[in-house]
Amino acid sequence: MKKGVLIIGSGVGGLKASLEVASRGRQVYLIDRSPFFGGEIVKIERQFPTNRCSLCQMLPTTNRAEEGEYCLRRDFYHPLIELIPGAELTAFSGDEGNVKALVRTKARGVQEELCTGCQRCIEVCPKEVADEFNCFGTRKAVSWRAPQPIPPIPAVDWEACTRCGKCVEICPTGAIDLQMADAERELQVRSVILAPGFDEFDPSILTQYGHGRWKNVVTSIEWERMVSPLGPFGERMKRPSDGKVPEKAAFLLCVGSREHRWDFCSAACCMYAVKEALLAKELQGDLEVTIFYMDLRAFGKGYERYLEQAKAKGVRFVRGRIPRLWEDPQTRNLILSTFEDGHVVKEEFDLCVLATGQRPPRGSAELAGILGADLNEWGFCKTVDPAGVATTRPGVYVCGSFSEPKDIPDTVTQATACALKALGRERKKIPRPLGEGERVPDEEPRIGVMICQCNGEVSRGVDVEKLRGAVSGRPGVSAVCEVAALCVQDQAKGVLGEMRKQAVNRLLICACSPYWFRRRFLENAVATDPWLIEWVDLREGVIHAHGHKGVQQKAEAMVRMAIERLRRKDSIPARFASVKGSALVVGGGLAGLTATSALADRGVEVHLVEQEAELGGVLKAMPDKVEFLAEYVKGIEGNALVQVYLNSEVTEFRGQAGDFWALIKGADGEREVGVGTVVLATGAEEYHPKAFLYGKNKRVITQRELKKGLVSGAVHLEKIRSVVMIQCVGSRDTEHPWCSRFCCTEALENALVLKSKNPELEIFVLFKDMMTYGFKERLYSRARDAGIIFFRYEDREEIRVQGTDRLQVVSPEAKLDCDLLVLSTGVIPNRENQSLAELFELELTKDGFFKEAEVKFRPVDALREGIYLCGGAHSPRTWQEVIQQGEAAAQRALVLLEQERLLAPHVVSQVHERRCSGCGLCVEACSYGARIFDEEHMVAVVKEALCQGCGVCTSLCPNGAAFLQGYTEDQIMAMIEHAV
Amino acid sequence: MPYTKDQAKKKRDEEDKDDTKIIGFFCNWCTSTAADLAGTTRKEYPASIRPIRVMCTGTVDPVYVLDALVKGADGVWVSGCDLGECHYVNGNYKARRRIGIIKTILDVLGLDSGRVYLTWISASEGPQFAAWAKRITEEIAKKGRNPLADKLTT
Repeated sequence: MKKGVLIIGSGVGGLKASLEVASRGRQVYLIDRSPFFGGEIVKIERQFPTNRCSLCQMLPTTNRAEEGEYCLRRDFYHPLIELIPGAELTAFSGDEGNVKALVRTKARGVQEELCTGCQRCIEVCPKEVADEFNCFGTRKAVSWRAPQPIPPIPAVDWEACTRCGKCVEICPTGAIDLQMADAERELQVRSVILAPGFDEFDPSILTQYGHGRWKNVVTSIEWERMVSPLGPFGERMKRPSDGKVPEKAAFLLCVGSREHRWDFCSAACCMYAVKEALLAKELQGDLEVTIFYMDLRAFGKGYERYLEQAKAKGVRFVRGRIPRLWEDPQTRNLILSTFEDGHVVKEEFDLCVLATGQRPPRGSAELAGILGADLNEWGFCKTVDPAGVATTRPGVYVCGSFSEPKDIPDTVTQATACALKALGRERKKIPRPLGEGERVPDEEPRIGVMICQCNGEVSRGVDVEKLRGAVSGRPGVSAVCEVAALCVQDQAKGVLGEMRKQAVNRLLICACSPYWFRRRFLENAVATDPWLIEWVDLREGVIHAHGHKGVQQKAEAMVRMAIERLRRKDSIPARFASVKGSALVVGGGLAGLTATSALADRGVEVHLVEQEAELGGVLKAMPDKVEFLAEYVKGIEGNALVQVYLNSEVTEFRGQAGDFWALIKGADGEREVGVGTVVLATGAEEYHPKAFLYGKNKRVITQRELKKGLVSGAVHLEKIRSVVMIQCVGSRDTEHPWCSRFCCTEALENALVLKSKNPELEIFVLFKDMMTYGFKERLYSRARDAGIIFFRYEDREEIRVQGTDRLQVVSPEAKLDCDLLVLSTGVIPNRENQSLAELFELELTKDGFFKEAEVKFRPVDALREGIYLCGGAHSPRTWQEVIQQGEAAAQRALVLLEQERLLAPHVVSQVHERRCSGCGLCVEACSYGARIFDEEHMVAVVKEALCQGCGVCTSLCPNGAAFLQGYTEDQIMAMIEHAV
Repeated sequence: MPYTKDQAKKKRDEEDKDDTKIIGFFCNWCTSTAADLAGTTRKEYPASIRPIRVMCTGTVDPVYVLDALVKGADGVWVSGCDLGECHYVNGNYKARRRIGIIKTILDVLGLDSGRVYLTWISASEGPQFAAWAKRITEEIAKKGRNPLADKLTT
């Protein structure tokens, strides 16, 4: 078994990286110093820009395991991911490919194999401490982080524990061991991915905001908990001081960011403040929200529209950093001063939320020290490769906010690129067991029912004897057993032995919620096909959920229903789909070149199709990227695995993931190719300005032309005394409601170059919001320090440019004479996107870029399986971000390409061919493209390996020809009958 | 062999026959998790709910709703992820349309479409799940037993 990867940190980045590595058949050791997994995302129920949670979309879409199909906040499973909670790295040595890591696991105090999750220890614990998860209120010394955490075993907080032993006494299985010792473990891995996340900045040191003194001043995470359904106050939207429902709330942005001590931007705060405001308004329609900001950094995909949505819903935006707050001691309201029409006014709010920035997490400096990864001046991890994932130590990669504060889509993309790099260039074909799965011959169902007593928990509410009586003798049931605690290995083995003696061929388990121990049980019940094991939740689903009335009846009904379903289940032989191990990359710009390079380096045959006569896309026009581009192109042209088609286009395309067919038409003929995956990297177009005398006066140029001009000498600096730059030309307006993301950075870089060449040069920048997110903020500070003058404008339409030779730029804010006017133009979607979307059967967003499967958790996947998006085709971004995306797309493609065969999961859609009338409704309805129409036989066919098992096709088939394995009409109707 | 109608009736008569019975079609991802959470956090709700886990509310065939009412369920409660949150992207939008259609059909048939509920409950909304369960049970109990129960033969 080739060496796996150690991943440190189980937040969004760590989870995503683990799933990516495991999906490529490699072992993952996922450690987190907390006894519970999930990181900060567990505190945040909903995320921008969808204002919904979609964490579960990160789960693999191919080779799905039924045991792994659960809400990712409550459960996390993959057969190749080993979770090591409460663990920290203590030593590290070796080189990439051969690393020895020493991991120290803090004693949990509770033995996982014995805990039944009854929560009695938590109930009796006498010691309360501050609850750092829910931010307000307390938790016990032995507790868990949130209801149903991962893993679902309480942990002892050794600092708080008084060693009174009450929990030890009450525990029915003796799972608590207050003498438990820490453990050490050596792991041999090929590389490490650092994903320790961030700590929220603690604003109490900014005493002017009163956090920690004034109750109604809260941080953003505190706010998240306050409005969570599982929050600390029982009900949502109550303010801390008096439980009153707030009517007027203020959000203060940039708390702990963008100042001389912390000269960086935390990137996500503008957006999450808007999200919090919108979600609060959803909860309480008449809540007035005001967001006080410096620059509204809505630079991501879809963010500008999101902002417009917020404005339309009545969220008030007021520009101006609030220097301080006052508290009214009577009402506990907060008062601040702001500007209105040039006057200072005071405003009063019930509640004030500080949009706190991100910091490197506590202990991360030591961790980086152990790993030998260098940090920057603020303690964030430095990266040394263009994609921004490699640290200064070979073999150690980083993703998430620890490398730079960032939001979720960027974290997920970075984590995906990390997985690619962490696995190196090993070529691996992930084998599948040959032959069929063990098939139970078509015998009469003989169900063995196992009723778990949960150490007496179950009999608190259910009369087990009666239940047993109601179940035995039912058709299909051949044995009924009781067991004290099924989650205890010995007991499970014992009862399974009993079942086997009675020639049972299906198992029905009546125990706790499947989130708890279903998997542990499956691991013990090795000899039985997990498909033929049904689980009834008697504990969380019946006993803990209801009072006394109707409990017995319901328990019996649930068991009856489960029996009916299980009786109608048959063993399913394994079915496979083949995968063509080659890829089609459409577009030979930076994104396409990156993806091609990444794939070809890992043994994948790539067909690279480029419309123009040369590779390079927009990079060709960048004078400072000439060498960089040349290197890339050389590598690709020299690689025997890459077939480059210049002056070519894809004109026809069809098929499914693993088996696509494309027709490439070029100047010298046509070529058919069969590939497994497609990477769409068709780029975006540069916007050509139509205003500001561009094209009419030669002194008006774009940033790109400026760069070229400086290198070529076309721009004569000696003759220029003043320069004006106008930002957002062709972006963030009604025709182009998106931010092009790189233009502010590009402008500042150019401005600083100009200033360095001639410090006497006057430079004025007219901007709307300065999008220098993350560490780019430094550019902005440096620019201001260098004497570059910034003027904010409100409406670009109000800026006029006049003059025949020398120019005059006039706006309500300023009147500027200049020798050179530089327009910061962004990008617009490629004009071919519509026809490309039709060709590849993809969707476009409202803005005209390609639509991804899910903006946060599946950022580079198209919804159609097997097609990946990167670069300008996806959305505007900086060149480093394009590289990172290209690598992420390659990683996603490899997950499919490295499979020898794709295994069809059990819960898949099927077709009763004789009932199928060939109407094609189901084919259209499938969002994933997993159904095709067989023209020859006039029936629908399911591509099982791609089917996600949602069953939507089944309910729309007019003839009942579509059914979902495991959820057939037969089964469901039998369940309905026995439920009543 | 399944119970005959007489056997089923006898069984119901034996038990507390006045108890409301509501069949729930809950999606695997959000609502089932919320139901679970309600139990884990001891947020009590009535035992009238008989959950049937489906992968997505989009797979709930309108026929199932009708079948449940015909077989004597007092109410049917379909619940899935919030719109925009569906694991399968838009399955719940399809459910919204389908349940809408079946409700119209029920009214046309002279049956009470008010016995059919469609809600969107997110995975963390354990308390909301319990609250809905209580509310739905109360409202349906007020309507009395399903008049179709015992009337139709299988």
